[in-house]
Amino acid sequence: MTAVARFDRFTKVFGDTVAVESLSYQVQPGRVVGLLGRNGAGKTTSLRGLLGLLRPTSGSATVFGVPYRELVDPARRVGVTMDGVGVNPSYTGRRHLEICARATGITRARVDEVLDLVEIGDAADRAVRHWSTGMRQRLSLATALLGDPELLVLDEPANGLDPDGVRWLRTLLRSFAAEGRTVLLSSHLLAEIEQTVDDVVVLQCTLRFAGSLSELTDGGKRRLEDCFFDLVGTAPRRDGVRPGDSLPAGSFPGGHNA
Amino acid sequence: MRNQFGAELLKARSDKTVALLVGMATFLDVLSILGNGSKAAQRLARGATTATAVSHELVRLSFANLLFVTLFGAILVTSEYRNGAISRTVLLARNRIDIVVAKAGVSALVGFLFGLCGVVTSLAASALEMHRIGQRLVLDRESFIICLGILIVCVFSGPWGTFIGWIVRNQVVTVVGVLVWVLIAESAIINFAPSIGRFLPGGAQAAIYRDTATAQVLSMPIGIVLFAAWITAAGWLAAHLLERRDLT
Repeated sequence: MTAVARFDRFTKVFGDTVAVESLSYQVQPGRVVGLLGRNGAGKTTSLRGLLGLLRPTSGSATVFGVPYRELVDPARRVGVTMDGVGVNPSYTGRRHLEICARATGITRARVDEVLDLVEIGDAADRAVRHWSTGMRQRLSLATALLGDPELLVLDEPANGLDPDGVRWLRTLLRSFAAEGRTVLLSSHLLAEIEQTVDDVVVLQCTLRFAGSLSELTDGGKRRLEDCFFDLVGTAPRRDGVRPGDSLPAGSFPGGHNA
Repeated sequence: MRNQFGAELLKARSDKTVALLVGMATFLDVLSILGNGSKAAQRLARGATTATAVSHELVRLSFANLLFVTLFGAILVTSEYRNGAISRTVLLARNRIDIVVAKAGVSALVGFLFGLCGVVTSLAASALEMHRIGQRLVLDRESFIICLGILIVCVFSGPWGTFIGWIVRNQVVTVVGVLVWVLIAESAIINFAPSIGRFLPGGAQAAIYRDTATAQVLSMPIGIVLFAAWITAAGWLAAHLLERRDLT
């Protein structure tokens, strides 16, 4: 079976900084895969490499067996939300989607469908510059869903969403995967990921783990957060206290330790 | 390609950049014609020029629209780098060359609009100004060729601007760079070293709109070929860089 997405010794170097080193893993069809890592771990860089927005320094990244730019009709194969993949803020949400639909030969009726799907129809005719972060995130998801793609690549999709939005997103992604489609999402919200994904990839410049969530957490006996820090190590803070160490009483602003 | 062109056209129609730049260009055309008309009246009174020469001079003044078209073309590309929409554009496109060609095509179309506005404005304002100074606007074959040249140079300047935008990418650097180059550096070279300056893009543009004030100006057909060569070279470089560089 062809992997939906595949990294093969993918390496990206910016100047003297190695962002991602020799990353290899595959995403199988019908799975929700969580790409986990700290800020700066290389999650976004690897996803941008997968989408052809960055050229790998060495190695390769492919979707449906080919580099992204060789896909014949990319919008109908892969939907993307990603920090830095922006919208002209002077457009209305509807106009943004109409432009995307026009570029890909998708009908205007589909624009209305995705606006309803992500529940931003009421705001669709206002300029995006007046929208909240959560609404922009939903617009980005609407754009990703416009082509009814087989694969969703989502970079921190829960950013800016309120608790209702996070729950809504989880349901959306699970129903998407239930149709046999695939989701690759990056996040550092470990508790949220734990409720959403089938498989986990842990990245900290290099690959630390790739496999099922069940395998990583020993069938759910261990918390994902504990497993994550076992894999990537704990980063010392500026005050020398390592995350997880007990803090002196009153360390939390204006309060007490739990 | 048809879809990409349609999307780019929809983008151009969806914000106020075109209207704003056309308004500014038209305002400056009128100001320039009125200002030059007053000076021309004095020269006419001294017998230092003719109504025909003044008519050509005034009609030609809307050549300045080419600067606004160049800026429009550049902004069409660089605004997407500024707000990050370029990544979405690239992700949705079937190939990157389509995007480069579609943006160039739309900016050429908008260039035609600028050219048309410029010609209509210059003819109307020149007729009014000539009437004000007691003369009649002379519309002869040369006037027609000048108007045609303004249309052509505006159509060409759109893609020229987009390719500069693709190459530079940063909006502020592109806009300031274009203004400094066109208004200062290139003008200085054309004035002080015309044997070199006439082969620069600005020299080729001057040949197209038949700028008789420029020394050693090339003929109009050679100007068209030369500017087309500059545009082709810039287009090739823009497409090459879009293929090679990371989109950040």
